[in-house]
Amino acid sequence: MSAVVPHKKKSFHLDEADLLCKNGCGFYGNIAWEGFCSKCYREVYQPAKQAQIQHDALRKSGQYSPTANNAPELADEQAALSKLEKQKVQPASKQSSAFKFLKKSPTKEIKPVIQELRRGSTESQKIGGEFAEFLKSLKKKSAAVEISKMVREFVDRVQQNQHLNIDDLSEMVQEFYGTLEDQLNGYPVFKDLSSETIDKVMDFAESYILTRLYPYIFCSPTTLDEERDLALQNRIRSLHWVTALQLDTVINDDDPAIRHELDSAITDIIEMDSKRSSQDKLQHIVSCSKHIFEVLQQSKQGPASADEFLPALIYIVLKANPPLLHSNIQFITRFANPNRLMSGEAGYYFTNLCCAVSFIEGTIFRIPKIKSLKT
Amino acid sequence: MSNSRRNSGTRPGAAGGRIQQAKLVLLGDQGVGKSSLALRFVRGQFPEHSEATVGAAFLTQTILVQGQSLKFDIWDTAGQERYHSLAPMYYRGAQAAVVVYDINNANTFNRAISWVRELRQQTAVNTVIVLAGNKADLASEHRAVPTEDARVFAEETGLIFAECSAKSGLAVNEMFMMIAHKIVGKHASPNSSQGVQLTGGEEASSSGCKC
Repeated sequence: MSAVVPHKKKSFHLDEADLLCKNGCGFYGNIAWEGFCSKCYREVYQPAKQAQIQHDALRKSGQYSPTANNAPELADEQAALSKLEKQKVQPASKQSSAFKFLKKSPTKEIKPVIQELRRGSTESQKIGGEFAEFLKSLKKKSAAVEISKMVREFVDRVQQNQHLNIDDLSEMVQEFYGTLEDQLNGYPVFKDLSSETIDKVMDFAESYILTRLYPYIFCSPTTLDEERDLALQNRIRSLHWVTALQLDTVINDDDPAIRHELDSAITDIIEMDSKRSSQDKLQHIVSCSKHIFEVLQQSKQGPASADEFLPALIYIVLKANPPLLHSNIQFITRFANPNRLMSGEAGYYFTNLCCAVSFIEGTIFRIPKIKSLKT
Repeated sequence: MSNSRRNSGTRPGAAGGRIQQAKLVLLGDQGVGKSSLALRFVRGQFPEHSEATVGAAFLTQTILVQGQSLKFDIWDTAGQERYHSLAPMYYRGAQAAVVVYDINNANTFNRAISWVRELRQQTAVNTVIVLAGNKADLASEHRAVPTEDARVFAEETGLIFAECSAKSGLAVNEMFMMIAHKIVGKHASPNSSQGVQLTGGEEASSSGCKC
């Protein structure tokens, strides 16, 4: 099948322009945000979203008139639709159901969410118990009560606002991390807490919040994450023929000891999906990376560096094809405490994973020419 | 990602006594010795003499500078051309970038120049950028990049410049100390980004830092 394709070894290329925000602001774009960075995406899409909400509200109350709407494209759409309506004498309910479909109503997903809530309740209870245990260990009771109250109130607040779009939810959670940390460092009731204790409180709060809210915020039906997951999975599946050698990795997967380390790395990255908190997910990425370093060290009989690590990670991701990889990355990006992602080991390896996925998505892999069938 | 998440040098809400964190990213062609430089700085070792290390792409080192603890998070990157376009994901939010080239290989210097230009365009003005010519221990026989060329380029672009050797340890610690001073000092005067240079040799290794 491949003999016709010319052999080009160094044909991997990902254009820089593909990574940057389409708005040219210099930050990084993301496919999930239509190629914009989150800020520009919001700026571009917020007015349209507002217009849609207004439009829907007006329709519901029956006062809608196209001229009253200040979003021209929506007015046009509405005008075209009412023309159709006149021609076909369609019942109004059909038209509004078409609009609902376009809006991707979350109502259809309520049932599975409830089921998942039940499945996840043991995990929520576990982290809830650990958090409570930790708070009990604090000397000052009033501080413990205050922390517990703030965190629980926040979880309730998000649950009440679960219909919000994912960027707004992300912002809510991120804002809460900031407020909580500021208060822990500033409020008199917390002034006896050491900085280590504050770090622990922050960790527990993050774990608890994300575990509790997981069903609403992971691979949410209001996002395109599910489609992207499938696309990425298919993409990786289609690259099953890529070998370690083609990626220029030094991995020697014939050796059983190395093979064992490779399997551990693959298991770790696959199991990331089964964890709910961002810390646990990141821990799996770190552990996978450590196994990769073992693989590299044993393969080349010497210490490895980033030059060898990234290709090896790409190879592992291709071999593992981890479930819901895009959703997991998005979940961490949106909801993990940013301190975790900008610094520390976990942040570093997470960035590498993002790079590996970006490379897999954006690179044209060429099937190497089969040298000779005779030999 | 909100703006507040974008340049988090110190931890938000951090009190004065807390350790300041700085993300430092290593860029440069494959095989110029990026990770060896980091290892030399962090562990005082050169990989050849330390079979025990599994290898490292992420290292941390805490140092005391101007009475303040500064913790470096050192991010190594893959230097191959094919991964070049991924680099922004690594240097986003970094306080310092060390662009490494091999002074015995002119191609690596050319790539370093393009890294520097890219960094100047893509990163905040107060990002500390360092041009580091590694493998100075081999320079007497194999030098391909004259010190003067690199020094002039560094001066024009306002970089810290150092010729160093991860193998012998020459000027490595001094280079990192200079970065530390710049980062810590930055809080006092954010716009002090004029070129500072560090020439290899006894002069540099005897004096701690010339900031």
